[in-house]
Amino acid sequence: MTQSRRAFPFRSLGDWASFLEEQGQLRHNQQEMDLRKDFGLVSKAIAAKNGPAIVHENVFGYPGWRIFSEGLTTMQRQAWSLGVPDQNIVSNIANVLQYNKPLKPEIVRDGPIKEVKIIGDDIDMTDIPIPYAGKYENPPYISAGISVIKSLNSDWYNIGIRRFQLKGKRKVCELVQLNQHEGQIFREYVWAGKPMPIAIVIGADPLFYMLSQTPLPNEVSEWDYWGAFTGEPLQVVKCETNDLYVPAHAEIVIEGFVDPEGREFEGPFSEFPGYYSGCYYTPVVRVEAVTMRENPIYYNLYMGREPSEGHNMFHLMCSANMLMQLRALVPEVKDVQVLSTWSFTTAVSIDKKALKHGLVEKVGAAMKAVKSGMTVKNLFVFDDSVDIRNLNEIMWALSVKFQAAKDIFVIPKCITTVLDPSSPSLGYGPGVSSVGVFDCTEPLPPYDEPYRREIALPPVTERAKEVLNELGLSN
Amino acid sequence: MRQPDRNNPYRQELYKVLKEREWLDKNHEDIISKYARKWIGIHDQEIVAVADTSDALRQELSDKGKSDCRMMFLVPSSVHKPV
Repeated sequence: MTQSRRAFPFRSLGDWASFLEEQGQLRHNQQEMDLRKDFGLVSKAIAAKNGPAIVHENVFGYPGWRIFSEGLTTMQRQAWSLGVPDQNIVSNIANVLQYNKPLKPEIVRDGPIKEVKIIGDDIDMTDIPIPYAGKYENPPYISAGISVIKSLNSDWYNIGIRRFQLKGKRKVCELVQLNQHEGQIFREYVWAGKPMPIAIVIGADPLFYMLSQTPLPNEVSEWDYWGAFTGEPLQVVKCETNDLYVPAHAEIVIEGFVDPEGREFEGPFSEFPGYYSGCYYTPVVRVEAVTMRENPIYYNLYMGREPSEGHNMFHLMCSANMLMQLRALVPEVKDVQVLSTWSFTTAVSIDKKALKHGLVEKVGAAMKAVKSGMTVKNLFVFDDSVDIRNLNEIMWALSVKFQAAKDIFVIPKCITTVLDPSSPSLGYGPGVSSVGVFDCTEPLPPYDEPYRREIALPPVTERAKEVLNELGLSN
Repeated sequence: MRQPDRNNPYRQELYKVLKEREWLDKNHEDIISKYARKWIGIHDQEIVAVADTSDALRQELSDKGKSDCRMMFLVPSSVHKPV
Protein backbone atom coordinates (compact mmCIF):
# COMPACT_ATOMS: atom_id res chain seq x y z
CA MET A 1 0.00 0.00 0.00
CA THR A 2 1.38 3.42 -0.91
CA GLN A 3 1.98 5.89 1.90
CA SER A 4 -0.81 8.43 2.08
CA ARG A 5 -0.64 12.05 3.13
CA ARG A 6 -3.97 11.60 4.85
CA ALA A 7 -3.94 8.50 6.97
CA PHE A 8 -6.34 7.02 9.47
CA PRO A 9 -8.28 8.53 11.10
CA PHE A 10 -9.99 10.32 8.23
CA ARG A 11 -11.61 13.35 9.78
CA SER A 12 -13.77 14.24 6.80
CA LEU A 13 -15.29 12.82 3.67
CA GLY A 14 -12.82 14.90 1.68
CA ASP A 15 -9.85 13.32 3.50
CA TRP A 16 -11.32 9.91 2.80
CA ALA A 17 -11.90 10.60 -0.89
CA SER A 18 -8.33 11.88 -1.29
CA PHE A 19 -6.96 8.76 0.39
CA LEU A 20 -9.01 6.47 -1.84
CA GLU A 21 -7.80 8.33 -4.89
CA GLU A 22 -4.19 7.85 -3.83
CA GLN A 23 -4.89 4.13 -3.42
CA GLY A 24 -6.36 3.97 -6.92
CA GLN A 25 -9.80 3.19 -5.51
CA LEU A 26 -11.74 6.24 -6.56
CA ARG A 27 -12.95 7.32 -9.96
CA HIS A 28 -14.39 10.63 -11.12
CA ASN A 29 -17.43 10.58 -13.39
CA GLN A 30 -17.75 13.63 -15.64
CA GLN A 31 -20.81 12.47 -17.55
CA GLU A 32 -24.03 14.35 -16.84
CA MET A 33 -26.16 12.35 -14.40
CA ASP A 34 -29.92 12.56 -13.98
CA LEU A 35 -30.89 12.26 -10.30
CA ARG A 36 -34.10 10.53 -11.20
CA LYS A 37 -32.66 7.77 -13.37
CA ASP A 38 -28.90 7.28 -13.47
CA PHE A 39 -27.50 6.79 -9.99
CA GLY A 40 -29.08 3.53 -8.86
CA LEU A 41 -27.74 1.24 -11.56
CA VAL A 42 -24.21 2.67 -11.38
CA SER A 43 -24.02 2.10 -7.65
CA LYS A 44 -25.58 -1.34 -7.84
CA ALA A 45 -23.15 -2.48 -10.52
CA ILE A 46 -20.15 -1.15 -8.60
CA ALA A 47 -21.23 -3.07 -5.51
CA ALA A 48 -21.80 -6.27 -7.50
CA LYS A 49 -18.28 -6.09 -8.95
CA ASN A 50 -16.43 -4.75 -5.86
CA GLY A 51 -15.70 -1.66 -7.88
CA PRO A 52 -14.16 1.67 -6.91
CA ALA A 53 -15.69 4.53 -5.01
CA ILE A 54 -17.04 7.18 -7.33
CA VAL A 55 -17.51 10.94 -7.34
CA HIS A 56 -20.10 12.20 -9.80
CA GLU A 57 -19.00 15.68 -10.82
CA ASN A 58 -21.79 16.65 -13.21
CA VAL A 59 -25.32 16.49 -11.80
CA PHE A 60 -28.11 17.81 -14.02
CA GLY A 61 -29.88 20.69 -12.30
CA TYR A 62 -27.21 21.12 -9.62
CA PRO A 63 -24.20 22.89 -11.09
CA GLY A 64 -21.10 22.67 -8.94
CA TRP A 65 -22.37 19.84 -6.72
CA ARG A 66 -20.54 16.53 -6.34
CA ILE A 67 -22.10 13.25 -5.27
CA PHE A 68 -19.95 10.56 -3.63
CA SER A 69 -20.84 6.85 -3.45
CA GLU A 70 -19.44 3.40 -2.75
CA GLY A 71 -16.69 4.56 -0.41
CA LEU A 72 -17.35 1.68 1.98
CA THR A 73 -18.46 -1.06 -0.38
CA THR A 74 -15.44 -3.36 -0.16
CA MET A 75 -13.89 -5.04 2.85
CA GLN A 76 -10.55 -3.42 2.13
CA ARG A 77 -12.05 0.07 2.24
CA GLN A 78 -14.03 -0.78 5.35
CA ALA A 79 -10.82 -1.99 7.02
CA TRP A 80 -9.03 1.24 6.11
CA SER A 81 -11.88 3.33 7.49
CA LEU A 82 -11.71 1.45 10.80
CA GLY A 83 -7.92 1.30 11.00
CA VAL A 84 -7.93 -2.50 11.46
CA PRO A 85 -6.34 -5.28 9.34
CA ASP A 86 -8.74 -6.86 6.87
CA GLN A 87 -7.60 -10.40 7.83
CA ASN A 88 -9.98 -11.69 10.57
CA ILE A 89 -11.71 -8.33 10.33
CA VAL A 90 -14.82 -9.37 12.27
CA SER A 91 -12.88 -10.40 15.35
CA ASN A 92 -10.56 -7.39 14.98
CA ILE A 93 -13.56 -5.06 15.15
CA ALA A 94 -15.17 -7.07 17.99
CA ASN A 95 -11.96 -6.80 20.00
CA VAL A 96 -11.82 -3.02 19.58
CA LEU A 97 -15.47 -2.71 20.61
CA GLN A 98 -14.92 -4.96 23.61
CA TYR A 99 -11.48 -3.95 24.88
CA ASN A 100 -10.68 -0.42 23.71
CA LYS A 101 -11.81 2.45 25.86
CA PRO A 102 -14.61 4.55 24.35
CA LEU A 103 -14.10 8.31 24.50
CA LYS A 104 -16.78 10.95 24.82
CA PRO A 105 -16.70 13.42 21.90
CA GLU A 106 -14.80 16.68 22.24
CA ILE A 107 -16.96 19.77 21.91
CA VAL A 108 -15.38 22.41 19.68
CA ARG A 109 -16.65 25.91 19.03
CA ASP A 110 -16.54 25.84 15.25
CA GLY A 111 -15.86 23.62 12.27
CA PRO A 112 -16.15 23.39 8.49
CA ILE A 113 -19.79 22.29 8.90
CA LYS A 114 -20.57 25.88 9.90
CA GLU A 115 -19.18 27.57 6.77
CA VAL A 116 -22.72 28.09 5.44
CA LYS A 117 -25.82 28.50 7.60
CA ILE A 118 -29.35 28.62 6.20
CA ILE A 119 -32.06 29.27 8.77
CA GLY A 120 -35.85 29.25 8.73
CA ASP A 121 -37.71 30.37 5.62
CA ASP A 122 -34.52 30.59 3.56
CA ILE A 123 -34.38 26.80 3.61
CA ASP A 124 -35.28 24.87 0.49
CA MET A 125 -34.43 21.19 0.78
CA THR A 126 -34.63 20.82 -2.99
CA ASP A 127 -31.36 22.79 -3.09
CA ILE A 128 -29.68 19.50 -2.09
CA PRO A 129 -29.23 16.97 -4.94
CA ILE A 130 -31.03 13.83 -3.78
CA PRO A 131 -30.81 10.86 -6.17
CA TYR A 132 -33.62 8.37 -6.58
CA ALA A 133 -32.69 4.75 -5.83
CA GLY A 134 -35.46 2.96 -7.74
CA LYS A 135 -38.22 3.65 -10.22
CA TYR A 136 -41.12 4.16 -7.84
CA GLU A 137 -40.03 6.49 -5.07
CA ASN A 138 -41.82 9.79 -5.32
CA PRO A 139 -40.38 12.12 -4.05
CA PRO A 140 -36.80 10.88 -3.49
CA TYR A 141 -35.18 9.86 -0.23
CA ILE A 142 -32.08 11.02 1.57
CA SER A 143 -30.45 7.61 1.91
CA ALA A 144 -27.15 8.32 3.67
CA GLY A 145 -28.49 10.66 6.32
CA ILE A 146 -27.30 9.69 9.80
CA SER A 147 -29.84 10.77 12.37
CA VAL A 148 -28.40 12.14 15.62
CA ILE A 149 -30.84 12.15 18.53
CA LYS A 150 -30.58 12.18 22.31
CA SER A 151 -32.61 10.48 24.98
CA LEU A 152 -34.96 12.76 26.87
CA ASN A 153 -34.00 11.07 30.14
CA SER A 154 -30.23 10.65 29.93
CA ASP A 155 -27.07 11.65 28.03
CA TRP A 156 -27.50 8.75 25.65
CA TYR A 157 -26.91 9.83 22.06
CA ASN A 158 -28.00 7.51 19.28
CA ILE A 159 -26.82 7.64 15.67
CA GLY A 160 -28.05 5.56 12.76
CA ILE A 161 -28.62 5.77 9.03
CA ARG A 162 -32.35 6.27 8.45
CA ARG A 163 -34.48 6.88 5.41
CA PHE A 164 -35.86 10.42 5.00
CA GLN A 165 -38.42 11.08 2.29
CA LEU A 166 -38.39 14.62 0.95
CA LYS A 167 -41.88 16.09 1.43
CA GLY A 168 -41.44 19.82 1.08
CA LYS A 169 -39.03 22.73 1.27
CA ARG A 170 -38.75 22.30 5.04
CA LYS A 171 -40.14 18.84 5.61
CA VAL A 172 -38.98 15.25 5.51
CA CYS A 173 -40.63 12.08 6.77
CA GLU A 174 -38.60 9.52 8.69
CA LEU A 175 -39.36 5.83 9.13
CA VAL A 176 -38.91 5.18 12.85
CA GLN A 177 -39.26 1.65 14.21
CA LEU A 178 -39.64 0.47 17.79
CA ASN A 179 -37.15 -2.36 17.30
CA GLN A 180 -34.49 0.35 16.85
CA HIS A 181 -33.09 2.64 19.51
CA GLU A 182 -34.39 5.62 17.60
CA GLY A 183 -37.90 4.30 18.13
CA GLN A 184 -37.33 3.77 21.84
CA ILE A 185 -35.94 7.28 22.26
CA PHE A 186 -38.67 8.87 20.14
CA ARG A 187 -41.28 7.13 22.26
CA GLU A 188 -39.91 8.99 25.33
CA TYR A 189 -40.78 12.25 23.57
CA VAL A 190 -44.18 10.95 22.46
CA TRP A 191 -45.06 10.00 26.02
CA ALA A 192 -43.84 13.40 27.26
CA GLY A 193 -45.70 15.24 24.48
CA LYS A 194 -42.49 17.04 23.43
CA PRO A 195 -40.95 17.53 19.98
CA MET A 196 -37.75 15.55 19.53
CA PRO A 197 -34.69 17.47 18.34
CA ILE A 198 -32.93 15.80 15.47
CA ALA A 199 -29.89 16.43 13.30
CA ILE A 200 -29.40 14.62 10.00
CA VAL A 201 -25.72 14.34 9.08
CA ILE A 202 -24.84 13.79 5.43
CA GLY A 203 -21.24 13.23 4.37
CA ALA A 204 -19.54 12.44 7.65
CA ASP A 205 -16.14 10.73 7.85
CA PRO A 206 -16.17 6.99 6.99
CA LEU A 207 -15.65 5.77 10.57
CA PHE A 208 -18.74 7.73 11.66
CA TYR A 209 -20.68 5.97 8.91
CA MET A 210 -19.44 2.54 10.00
CA LEU A 211 -20.31 3.28 13.63
CA SER A 212 -23.80 4.38 12.61
CA GLN A 213 -24.29 0.76 11.51
CA THR A 214 -23.21 -0.70 14.85
CA PRO A 215 -26.06 -2.27 16.87
CA LEU A 216 -24.77 -1.59 20.36
CA PRO A 217 -26.80 -2.17 23.55
CA ASN A 218 -29.16 0.34 25.15
CA GLU A 219 -27.69 3.50 26.67
CA VAL A 220 -24.46 3.13 24.70
CA SER A 221 -23.61 6.01 22.36
CA GLU A 222 -22.11 4.72 19.14
CA TRP A 223 -20.02 7.83 18.59
CA ASP A 224 -18.06 7.20 21.80
CA TYR A 225 -16.45 4.35 19.86
CA TRP A 226 -14.98 6.75 17.33
CA GLY A 227 -12.48 7.34 20.08
CA ALA A 228 -12.14 3.61 20.77
CA PHE A 229 -10.96 3.04 17.20
CA THR A 230 -8.80 6.16 16.84
CA GLY A 231 -7.51 6.88 20.34
CA GLU A 232 -8.79 10.44 20.15
CA PRO A 233 -12.27 11.90 20.60
CA LEU A 234 -14.61 12.81 17.76
CA GLN A 235 -14.87 16.59 17.39
CA VAL A 236 -18.45 17.81 17.58
CA VAL A 237 -20.05 21.22 17.37
CA LYS A 238 -23.42 22.45 18.62
CA CYS A 239 -26.36 22.77 16.28
CA GLU A 240 -27.75 26.23 15.52
CA THR A 241 -31.40 25.62 16.39
CA ASN A 242 -31.36 22.80 18.93
CA ASP A 243 -29.09 21.50 21.67
CA LEU A 244 -27.70 18.53 19.81
CA TYR A 245 -24.08 18.14 18.70
CA VAL A 246 -22.90 17.03 15.28
CA PRO A 247 -19.52 16.11 13.73
CA ALA A 248 -17.63 19.34 13.12
CA HIS A 249 -16.11 18.07 9.85
CA ALA A 250 -19.26 16.75 8.17
CA GLU A 251 -20.43 18.04 4.78
CA ILE A 252 -24.12 18.85 5.43
CA VAL A 253 -26.30 18.90 8.55
CA ILE A 254 -30.08 19.27 8.54
CA GLU A 255 -31.44 20.38 11.90
CA GLY A 256 -35.02 20.08 12.99
CA PHE A 257 -37.66 18.79 15.35
CA VAL A 258 -39.85 15.70 15.10
CA ASP A 259 -43.48 16.27 15.99
CA PRO A 260 -44.47 13.71 18.67
CA GLU A 261 -48.04 13.46 17.39
CA GLY A 262 -48.13 14.14 13.68
CA ARG A 263 -47.73 11.29 11.21
CA GLU A 264 -47.72 11.45 7.45
CA PHE A 265 -48.26 8.96 4.64
CA GLU A 266 -44.78 7.86 3.54
CA GLY A 267 -43.32 5.36 1.09
CA PRO A 268 -42.60 3.33 -0.86
CA PHE A 269 -38.83 3.03 -0.81
CA SER A 270 -36.40 0.67 -2.48
CA GLU A 271 -35.50 -1.20 0.69
CA PHE A 272 -32.82 -3.61 1.87
CA PRO A 273 -34.86 -6.84 1.58
CA GLY A 274 -34.82 -6.22 -2.15
CA TYR A 275 -38.46 -5.19 -2.51
CA TYR A 276 -40.14 -1.84 -2.37
CA SER A 277 -41.35 -1.31 1.15
CA GLY A 278 -44.98 -0.64 1.83
CA CYS A 279 -46.38 2.69 2.91
CA TYR A 280 -46.33 3.83 6.52
CA TYR A 281 -47.60 6.62 8.74
CA THR A 282 -44.31 8.06 9.86
CA PRO A 283 -43.13 10.97 11.98
CA VAL A 284 -42.45 14.29 10.30
CA VAL A 285 -39.29 16.37 10.66
CA ARG A 286 -39.77 20.13 10.50
CA VAL A 287 -36.45 21.51 9.21
CA GLU A 288 -35.22 24.58 11.08
CA ALA A 289 -31.68 24.96 9.75
CA VAL A 290 -29.30 23.59 7.18
CA THR A 291 -25.56 24.06 7.67
CA MET A 292 -22.87 22.90 5.31
CA ARG A 293 -19.41 23.42 3.99
CA GLU A 294 -18.85 26.08 1.36
CA ASN A 295 -18.47 23.41 -1.33
CA PRO A 296 -20.13 20.31 0.13
CA ILE A 297 -20.11 16.77 -1.23
CA TYR A 298 -23.39 14.86 -1.05
CA TYR A 299 -23.07 11.21 0.08
CA ASN A 300 -25.48 8.86 -1.65
CA LEU A 301 -26.04 5.31 -0.41
CA TYR A 302 -27.84 3.17 -2.95
CA MET A 303 -30.39 0.90 -1.30
CA GLY A 304 -32.26 -2.04 -2.82
CA ARG A 305 -31.52 -5.68 -3.39
CA GLU A 306 -28.04 -6.67 -2.23
CA PRO A 307 -25.22 -6.44 -2.74
CA SER A 308 -24.90 -2.78 -1.90
CA GLU A 309 -22.62 -0.51 0.05
CA GLY A 310 -25.22 -0.28 2.81
CA HIS A 311 -25.60 -4.05 3.09
CA ASN A 312 -21.83 -4.58 3.18
CA MET A 313 -21.33 -1.97 5.89
CA PHE A 314 -24.11 -3.29 8.09
CA HIS A 315 -23.23 -6.94 7.61
CA LEU A 316 -19.66 -6.34 8.76
CA MET A 317 -20.46 -4.18 11.79
CA CYS A 318 -23.39 -6.38 12.78
CA SER A 319 -21.25 -9.53 12.58
CA ALA A 320 -18.64 -7.94 14.85
CA ASN A 321 -21.25 -6.77 17.34
CA MET A 322 -22.91 -10.17 17.37
CA LEU A 323 -19.56 -11.81 18.11
CA MET A 324 -18.86 -9.41 20.95
CA GLN A 325 -22.35 -9.65 22.44
CA LEU A 326 -22.82 -13.41 21.99
CA ARG A 327 -19.52 -14.51 23.45
CA ALA A 328 -20.39 -12.64 26.65
CA LEU A 329 -23.42 -14.92 26.99
CA VAL A 330 -22.14 -18.08 25.28
CA PRO A 331 -18.33 -18.37 25.57
CA GLU A 332 -18.38 -21.31 23.15
CA VAL A 333 -19.16 -18.95 20.25
CA LYS A 334 -16.07 -18.58 18.05
CA ASP A 335 -17.23 -16.62 15.01
CA VAL A 336 -20.25 -14.92 13.47
CA GLN A 337 -21.03 -13.92 9.90
CA VAL A 338 -24.14 -12.23 8.57
CA LEU A 339 -24.86 -14.06 5.34
CA SER A 340 -27.70 -12.11 3.79
CA THR A 341 -30.29 -9.34 3.99
CA TRP A 342 -29.39 -7.25 7.00
CA SER A 343 -28.78 -10.33 9.23
CA PHE A 344 -32.06 -12.04 8.33
CA THR A 345 -29.81 -15.03 7.59
CA THR A 346 -26.76 -15.38 9.80
CA ALA A 347 -24.18 -18.06 10.59
CA VAL A 348 -22.51 -18.72 13.93
CA SER A 349 -19.68 -21.14 14.59
CA ILE A 350 -19.14 -22.72 17.98
CA ASP A 351 -16.26 -24.63 19.52
CA LYS A 352 -16.45 -28.19 18.25
CA LYS A 353 -14.78 -29.46 21.41
CA ALA A 354 -17.58 -27.91 23.51
CA LEU A 355 -20.51 -29.42 21.63
CA LYS A 356 -23.21 -30.76 23.91
CA HIS A 357 -26.97 -31.15 23.82
CA GLY A 358 -28.74 -27.83 24.30
CA LEU A 359 -25.81 -25.64 23.27
CA VAL A 360 -27.22 -24.75 19.84
CA GLU A 361 -30.56 -23.81 21.39
CA LYS A 362 -28.71 -21.64 23.88
CA VAL A 363 -26.97 -19.86 20.99
CA GLY A 364 -30.35 -19.26 19.34
CA ALA A 365 -31.88 -17.86 22.51
CA ALA A 366 -28.84 -15.65 23.12
CA MET A 367 -28.92 -14.32 19.56
CA LYS A 368 -32.50 -13.16 19.98
CA ALA A 369 -31.69 -11.57 23.34
CA VAL A 370 -28.86 -9.31 22.13
CA LYS A 371 -29.43 -6.02 20.32
CA SER A 372 -27.49 -7.06 17.26
CA GLY A 373 -29.68 -10.14 16.80
CA MET A 374 -32.89 -8.15 16.51
CA THR A 375 -33.51 -8.92 12.84
CA VAL A 376 -32.07 -12.46 12.68
CA LYS A 377 -34.70 -14.94 11.52
CA ASN A 378 -32.69 -17.80 9.97
CA LEU A 379 -29.77 -18.73 12.20
CA PHE A 380 -27.41 -21.44 11.02
CA VAL A 381 -25.10 -22.83 13.70
CA PHE A 382 -21.94 -24.67 12.67
CA ASP A 383 -19.04 -26.15 14.57
CA ASP A 384 -15.74 -24.39 14.02
CA SER A 385 -14.44 -26.98 11.59
CA VAL A 386 -16.54 -25.07 9.01
CA ASP A 387 -15.39 -21.73 7.59
CA ILE A 388 -18.60 -19.72 7.81
CA ARG A 389 -17.32 -17.26 5.22
CA ASN A 390 -17.01 -19.99 2.62
CA LEU A 391 -20.37 -20.74 0.98
CA ASN A 392 -19.17 -24.13 -0.27
CA GLU A 393 -18.31 -25.22 3.26
CA ILE A 394 -21.60 -23.89 4.58
CA MET A 395 -23.59 -25.84 2.01
CA TRP A 396 -21.52 -28.94 2.60
CA ALA A 397 -22.15 -28.84 6.36
CA LEU A 398 -25.87 -28.20 5.78
CA SER A 399 -25.93 -31.16 3.43
CA VAL A 400 -24.13 -33.74 5.58
CA LYS A 401 -24.61 -32.69 9.21
CA PHE A 402 -28.25 -31.58 9.27
CA GLN A 403 -31.52 -33.50 9.57
CA ALA A 404 -34.69 -31.42 9.21
CA ALA A 405 -36.75 -33.73 11.44
CA LYS A 406 -34.64 -33.04 14.51
CA ASP A 407 -32.22 -30.17 13.83
CA ILE A 408 -34.57 -27.16 13.53
CA PHE A 409 -35.59 -25.22 16.62
CA VAL A 410 -38.29 -22.62 15.99
CA ILE A 411 -39.26 -19.56 17.96
CA PRO A 412 -42.83 -19.06 16.66
CA LYS A 413 -42.96 -15.25 16.98
CA CYS A 414 -40.45 -12.58 17.79
CA ILE A 415 -40.24 -8.82 17.32
CA THR A 416 -38.31 -7.84 14.20
CA THR A 417 -38.33 -5.14 11.54
CA VAL A 418 -41.51 -4.00 9.79
CA LEU A 419 -39.49 -4.13 6.57
CA ASP A 420 -39.44 -7.95 6.31
CA PRO A 421 -41.85 -8.50 3.41
CA SER A 422 -42.63 -12.05 4.56
CA SER A 423 -43.56 -11.21 8.16
CA PRO A 424 -47.23 -10.27 7.53
CA SER A 425 -47.83 -13.79 6.19
CA LEU A 426 -47.34 -15.07 9.74
CA GLY A 427 -50.57 -13.35 10.73
CA TYR A 428 -49.39 -10.86 13.35
CA GLY A 429 -48.81 -7.92 11.04
CA PRO A 430 -45.55 -6.33 9.99
CA GLY A 431 -42.70 -6.49 12.46
CA VAL A 432 -43.30 -9.97 13.89
CA SER A 433 -41.39 -12.91 12.48
CA SER A 434 -40.71 -16.51 13.34
CA VAL A 435 -37.10 -17.53 13.91
CA GLY A 436 -35.53 -20.80 12.79
CA VAL A 437 -32.31 -22.09 14.35
CA PHE A 438 -30.69 -24.71 12.16
CA ASP A 439 -28.27 -27.06 13.90
CA CYS A 440 -25.54 -27.82 11.37
CA THR A 441 -22.97 -28.89 13.92
CA GLU A 442 -21.28 -32.26 13.99
CA PRO A 443 -23.93 -34.68 15.29
CA LEU A 444 -23.51 -35.98 18.81
CA PRO A 445 -23.77 -39.65 19.78
CA PRO A 446 -25.57 -41.87 19.15
CA TYR A 447 -24.74 -41.75 15.44
CA ASP A 448 -23.64 -44.11 12.72
CA GLU A 449 -20.04 -44.78 11.97
CA PRO A 450 -19.35 -42.34 9.04
CA TYR A 451 -18.99 -39.42 11.47
CA ARG A 452 -16.20 -41.27 13.25
CA ARG A 453 -14.10 -41.49 10.07
CA GLU A 454 -11.91 -38.67 8.84
CA ILE A 455 -13.12 -36.08 6.35
CA ALA A 456 -12.25 -37.28 2.83
CA LEU A 457 -9.28 -35.12 1.78
CA PRO A 458 -6.21 -36.10 -0.31
CA PRO A 459 -2.70 -36.36 1.21
CA VAL A 460 -0.41 -33.30 0.89
CA THR A 461 2.84 -34.17 -0.90
CA GLU A 462 5.84 -32.06 -1.93
CA ARG A 463 5.45 -33.12 -5.58
CA ALA A 464 1.80 -32.05 -5.62
CA LYS A 465 2.75 -28.68 -4.12
CA GLU A 466 5.44 -28.16 -6.78
CA VAL A 467 2.93 -28.82 -9.53
CA LEU A 468 0.46 -26.35 -8.02
CA ASN A 469 3.23 -23.80 -7.75
CA GLU A 470 4.04 -24.15 -11.46
CA LEU A 471 0.36 -23.68 -12.25
CA GLY A 472 0.24 -20.53 -10.15
CA LEU A 473 -2.31 -22.14 -7.85
CA SER A 474 -0.41 -22.51 -4.61
CA ASN A 475 -1.78 -20.41 -1.72
CA MET B 1 -21.68 30.20 -1.11
CA ARG B 2 -22.84 28.31 -4.18
CA GLN B 3 -26.09 29.88 -5.43
CA PRO B 4 -28.83 27.31 -6.08
CA ASP B 5 -30.37 27.21 -9.53
CA ARG B 6 -34.07 26.82 -8.75
CA ASN B 7 -35.34 27.62 -12.24
CA ASN B 8 -33.77 24.75 -14.15
CA PRO B 9 -36.07 22.05 -15.60
CA TYR B 10 -35.14 19.39 -13.04
CA ARG B 11 -35.89 21.65 -10.09
CA GLN B 12 -39.15 22.84 -11.59
CA GLU B 13 -40.21 19.25 -12.14
CA LEU B 14 -39.21 18.32 -8.57
CA TYR B 15 -41.47 21.06 -7.20
CA LYS B 16 -44.30 19.54 -9.24
CA VAL B 17 -43.50 16.06 -7.88
CA LEU B 18 -43.77 17.49 -4.38
CA LYS B 19 -47.18 18.91 -5.27
CA GLU B 20 -48.32 15.54 -6.62
CA ARG B 21 -47.21 13.91 -3.39
CA GLU B 22 -49.01 16.52 -1.32
CA TRP B 23 -52.20 15.75 -3.24
CA LEU B 24 -51.65 11.99 -2.82
CA ASP B 25 -51.08 12.37 0.93
CA LYS B 26 -54.25 14.46 1.31
CA ASN B 27 -56.39 11.97 -0.64
CA HIS B 28 -54.67 8.70 0.21
CA GLU B 29 -57.50 7.24 2.32
CA ASP B 30 -60.00 7.73 -0.47
CA ILE B 31 -57.52 6.38 -3.03
CA ILE B 32 -56.85 3.29 -0.92
CA SER B 33 -60.57 2.62 -0.52
CA LYS B 34 -61.06 2.71 -4.30
CA TYR B 35 -57.81 1.41 -5.75
CA ALA B 36 -56.15 -0.88 -3.18
CA ARG B 37 -53.54 -3.15 -4.83
CA LYS B 38 -53.85 -1.31 -8.17
CA TRP B 39 -51.17 0.67 -9.95
CA ILE B 40 -52.23 4.25 -10.62
CA GLY B 41 -50.70 7.05 -12.63
CA ILE B 42 -50.90 10.50 -11.06
CA HIS B 43 -50.34 13.67 -13.08
CA ASP B 44 -51.33 17.24 -12.24
CA GLN B 45 -53.19 16.09 -9.14
CA GLU B 46 -55.45 13.58 -10.79
CA ILE B 47 -55.44 9.88 -11.49
CA VAL B 48 -54.92 9.46 -15.22
CA ALA B 49 -54.62 5.67 -15.48
CA VAL B 50 -55.27 2.51 -13.46
CA ALA B 51 -53.91 -0.99 -14.07
CA ASP B 52 -53.14 -4.28 -12.35
CA THR B 53 -49.38 -4.26 -13.02
CA SER B 54 -46.68 -1.65 -13.54
CA ASP B 55 -46.14 -2.84 -17.12
CA ALA B 56 -49.85 -2.61 -17.85
CA LEU B 57 -49.91 0.89 -16.37
CA ARG B 58 -47.03 1.97 -18.59
CA GLN B 59 -48.85 0.58 -21.59
CA GLU B 60 -52.06 2.36 -20.70
CA LEU B 61 -50.22 5.63 -20.15
CA SER B 62 -48.51 5.24 -23.49
CA ASP B 63 -51.81 4.44 -25.22
CA LYS B 64 -53.29 7.62 -23.73
CA GLY B 65 -50.30 9.71 -24.77
CA LYS B 66 -49.37 10.28 -21.13
CA SER B 67 -45.95 8.65 -20.97
CA ASP B 68 -44.69 11.74 -19.16
CA CYS B 69 -46.94 10.87 -16.20
CA ARG B 70 -45.24 12.23 -13.14
CA MET B 71 -45.95 9.48 -10.62
CA MET B 72 -46.60 5.75 -10.85
CA PHE B 73 -47.86 4.42 -7.54
CA LEU B 74 -48.88 0.99 -6.25
CA VAL B 75 -51.77 1.64 -3.89
CA PRO B 76 -51.37 -0.32 -0.64
CA SER B 77 -54.23 -2.24 0.95
CA SER B 78 -53.25 -1.08 4.43
CA VAL B 79 -50.88 1.40 6.02
CA HIS B 80 -48.88 0.50 9.11
CA LYS B 81 -47.96 2.92 11.88
CA PRO B 82 -44.70 1.60 13.42
CA VAL B 83 -44.55 4.16 16.29
